[in-house]
Amino acid sequence: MQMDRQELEGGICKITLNGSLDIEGAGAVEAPFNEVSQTHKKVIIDMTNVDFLASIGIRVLVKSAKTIGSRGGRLAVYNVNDAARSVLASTGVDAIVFVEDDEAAAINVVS
Amino acid sequence: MNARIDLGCSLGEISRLNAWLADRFAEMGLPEKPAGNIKLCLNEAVTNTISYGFADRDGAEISVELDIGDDKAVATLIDNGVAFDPLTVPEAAKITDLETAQIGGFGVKLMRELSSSIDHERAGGRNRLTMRFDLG
Repeated sequence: MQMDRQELEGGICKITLNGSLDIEGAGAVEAPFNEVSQTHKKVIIDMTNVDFLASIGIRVLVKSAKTIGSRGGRLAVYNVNDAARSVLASTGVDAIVFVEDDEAAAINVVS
Repeated sequence: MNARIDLGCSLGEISRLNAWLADRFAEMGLPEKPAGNIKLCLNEAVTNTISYGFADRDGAEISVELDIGDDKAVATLIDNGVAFDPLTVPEAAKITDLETAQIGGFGVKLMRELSSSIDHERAGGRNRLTMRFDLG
């Protein structure tokens, strides 16, 4: 799992993930995710190149959403594949993480 | 197709399982959706077993068997860990808001939703978790 981080205009932090959010991938991104969640209120995650989302990855997303939300911020993911989108829906993660079609929509919803 | 892989008792083995699954799915030309469902259910089940199944990991024996037919697939996890039936675990509540959202516990919920049936048996000191998937 590769994680890139970019600061966009308006205090938005864009995270780009590349790989699988399985136990290994989730373990690799957990610490940097915690850091971003504690220091940013507007976070968007590009999921274009995330091919797999297991419950361990859900844990990372929910924890981040709670941390960001407790500080009045918002977390959005975008361009999520069908399988991962269905996992987000069946667990209800989409009630606390905004699931958007593209980067522009994600930026809009956290701004 | 019948195939089997023996896994060691460490979470790093999940990556080896996933690489093995990818090869088996490619051999059988399994479509993306059922392949993804089988992979996800096995990841959840094997993660539970490795994380909680063994007080002493030295004697651990963990195997996954995969039987892919024309219209159904069966994935079986066999281990000699503590007796554990994941179907007895209360299902995590679906998230509705930030304050009450549980951070974890969704593995069993996903296994139930993505397989067509799950059975657990305990015999001869081993757990045998059988998950069936429709390919039609």
